[in-house]
Amino acid sequence: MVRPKRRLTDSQLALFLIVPLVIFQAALTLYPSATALWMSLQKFNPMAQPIGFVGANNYIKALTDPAVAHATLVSLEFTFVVVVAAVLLGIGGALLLNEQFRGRSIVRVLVVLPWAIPEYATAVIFGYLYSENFGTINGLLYQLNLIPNYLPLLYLGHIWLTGIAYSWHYAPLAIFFFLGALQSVPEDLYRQAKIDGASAFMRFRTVVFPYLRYALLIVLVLASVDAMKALDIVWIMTQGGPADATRVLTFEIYRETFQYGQLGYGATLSFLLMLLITALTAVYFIVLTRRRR
Amino acid sequence: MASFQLRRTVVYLLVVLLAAWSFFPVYTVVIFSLMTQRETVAQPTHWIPQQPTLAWIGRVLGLVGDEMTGRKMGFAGLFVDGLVNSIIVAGVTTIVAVTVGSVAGYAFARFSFRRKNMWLISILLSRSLPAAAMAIPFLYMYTNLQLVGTHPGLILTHLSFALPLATWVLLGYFANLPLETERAGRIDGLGRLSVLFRIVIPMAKGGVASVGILMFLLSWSEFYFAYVLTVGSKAQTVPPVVSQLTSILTGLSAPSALAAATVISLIPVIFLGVIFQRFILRLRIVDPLVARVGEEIPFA
Repeated sequence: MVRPKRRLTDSQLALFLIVPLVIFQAALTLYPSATALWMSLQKFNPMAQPIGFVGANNYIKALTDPAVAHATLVSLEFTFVVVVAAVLLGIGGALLLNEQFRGRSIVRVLVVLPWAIPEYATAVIFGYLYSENFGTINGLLYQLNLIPNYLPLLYLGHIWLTGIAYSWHYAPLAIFFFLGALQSVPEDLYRQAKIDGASAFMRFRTVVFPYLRYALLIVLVLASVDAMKALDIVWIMTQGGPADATRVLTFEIYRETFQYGQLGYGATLSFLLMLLITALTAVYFIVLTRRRR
Repeated sequence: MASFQLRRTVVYLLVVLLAAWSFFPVYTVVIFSLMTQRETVAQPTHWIPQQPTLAWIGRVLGLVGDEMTGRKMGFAGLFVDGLVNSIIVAGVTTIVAVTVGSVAGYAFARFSFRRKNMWLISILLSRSLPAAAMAIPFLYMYTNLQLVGTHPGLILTHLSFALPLATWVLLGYFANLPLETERAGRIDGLGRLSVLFRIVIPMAKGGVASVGILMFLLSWSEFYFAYVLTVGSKAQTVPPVVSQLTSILTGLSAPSALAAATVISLIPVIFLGVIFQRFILRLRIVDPLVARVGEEIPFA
């Protein structure tokens, strides 16, 4: 008996096409997350072998650990600096790049530059800017006669200056989002407001801003998630110092796991951070989906 | 007219500030990489190197020996190996991400199926997991699978954040392409998969290439997985090497070698970034959830 040749329906074909992606993503995210959860419930010996089930002990420890509370606060402060800087630089930079001026294409390339520079390299570079021995910011301030001698900037500014370094690398992304949104502001609406005698600020508030709102939402959420995730910059530039001033949550995880060898506890903090960031991202999607009617 | 003049002046002033903010840090590392050890610590800073030298760049690449002893520096070999490893890792990550991402992106762009939104959102959500948290379970899993310190091990971790992004951006491209050519292809007797590989991907090659560049940049720049999984091994990429130089060189307190290594590692990134910026600036920012009905989407 000859079987009729069966063809896949469109939706079967589509599922077939996304199978490789789904397998990859499940193996690369669900499996490690589950491993983190399992590890967080175990006790490990120094050889990194599990030696017993400890239940919620690690979680109780994490939630009552002052070092974790401190690191969370530092992370939030860092995130705050990055989000504020990203929004201000993003809107300001986009409005500026949207103007007509000579050399605009060159300036656009320059503005993109920091985004192409990896986070770890940003850390190296800002180490040079902030250095108290040869830092170029010190050099600049000194030559402008604003400071009498070179200052240990990172000791004075710690997490804020670290946040500014990260914002330098991150701001171009915000600029693109706002620039992209500005392209959608209808030209005539803007001109009409001008004819009606609205001041520059009023025009921005009533005509331009409504079109930026969606980009603003994206930048707010992306910048908070990415700043919470950031690690390279702290790791390379300050190693958590001076004292504990820049010990963000991600660095705390590294320290517990690799410096103190607390594998189970490190996994606990990892799992908590994953939950926190996934929750943040989920809120982003809910807000975005809700917004559409 | 006076206010127009004023406005012009303010715009130019702000443009200069913005350009300086973006460029000053890069300028700093470039001049340090060209200075002699002694000149880097000059106070006040020499804004233009007085005796510019390529010696540090040469030393980091292992082309020139030390001035006193003539011996090549110990980390030169490390750095060159790092460059080779980075090219392998970023290259394979790019190829896999673009291939898997194209196929899945096409499915999302052209076919409707059950729970499509759920799949899409969970794929994108999976990108948000922090490397700092994922590195520990990966290290544990890899110890059993003997993937620590290997190219495939590192490539897999890079795919974990590259794949969702590649899928989402490519989906935006494919959704944007005109349907007519694909229909014509079907009428001429091509199967649905042949349409994808023989018509859609060639038509979208600009977009596919941009996504490729983006993937290469992401993988080339990745530090933490690379550090935790490959540091000190044969597979270590450039970022962990540079971070090791940081600790090797802190004793020296003069920054030329690290600056030179950083500058070399930045050359491909800056080159690709400049090509890529033409593509980013063309993006129209629209709601990613409606994007699939025919707009480019922002990369998130």
